[in-house]
Amino acid sequence: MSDLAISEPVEATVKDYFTLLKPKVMSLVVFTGFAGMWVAPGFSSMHPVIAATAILCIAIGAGAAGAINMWYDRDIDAVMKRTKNRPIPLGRVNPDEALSFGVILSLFSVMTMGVAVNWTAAALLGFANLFYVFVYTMWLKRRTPQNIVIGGAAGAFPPMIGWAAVTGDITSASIVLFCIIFFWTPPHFWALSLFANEDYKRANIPMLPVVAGERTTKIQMLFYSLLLVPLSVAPYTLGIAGLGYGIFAFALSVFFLFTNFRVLVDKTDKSARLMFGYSVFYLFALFAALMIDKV
Amino acid sequence: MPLSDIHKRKRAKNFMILAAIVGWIALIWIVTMIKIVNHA
Repeated sequence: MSDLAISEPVEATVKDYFTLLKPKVMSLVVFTGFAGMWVAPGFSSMHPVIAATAILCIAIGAGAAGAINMWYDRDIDAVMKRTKNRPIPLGRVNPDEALSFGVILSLFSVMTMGVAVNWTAAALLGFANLFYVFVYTMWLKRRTPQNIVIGGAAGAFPPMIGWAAVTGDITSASIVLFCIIFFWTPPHFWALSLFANEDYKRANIPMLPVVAGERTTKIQMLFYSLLLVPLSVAPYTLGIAGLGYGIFAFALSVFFLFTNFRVLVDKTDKSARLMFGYSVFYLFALFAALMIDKV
Repeated sequence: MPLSDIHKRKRAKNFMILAAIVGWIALIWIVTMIKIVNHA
């Protein structure tokens, strides 16, 4: 008993465990997941307790994946400026406890989603968690500059899970919502890595600007930004959203493309910082517009 | 059972885990009731 007490360096607080859930990432996941529910047919007749349970499961599922990610990446987190103050590198949370915390919450969220909401949403939530942990964190992140392209799929699942929580199925509409986030992720993360690549270099993470150079990264970003123009308008063309949304999404995406062009011609990292900031606003505004359109 | 130091230090965390388990059981019960009523 006393050995156990001695081996624990610092007492973890509830806040430390909350930090393990990556609350900022969780908030974006909850927002896009809720948007997926909101636009799905039949949301208005869904019982509010079941709807709230679905959102809770999406939030806890995302947080659990974040905690497992922090357990696995504790070595690189300790050397990156951006992540060195996380609870595990600081020694506030024992790595084994972080892992069990993540695994238990992940199982809890998937099982609760299945029992309380439906098993399609539960299966998607479970798959997204497994994909984030095994495919992105353990397999791709340290091996290939395409890490965030393929791994980005994990972050694209929430609106699809939200949609499935309401309807119990996967349709072309929810696949389009998935695709919007999937193709938004590479320009968003590469804009970040253009001005934060020192951190990635130090941690030996093969981000595209580190491996292939800035010029190649900027050109590849442009392809994804171009694809986002028709994709963002697709909810209108598919009849999920109205003309107002279509015009707004088109304008937002054209401006996104414009910020990408500025990154391409700018030799400093100022435009990349602006583009990164705009990319967060872009995704938020796009999903907010989808929700407003449905009112 | 006598309370050791580790019991005292982990009291808040243990109560949180207990509350989470009780909350989860309550949630599943409420949702089950809703589903039964809606399908009745």
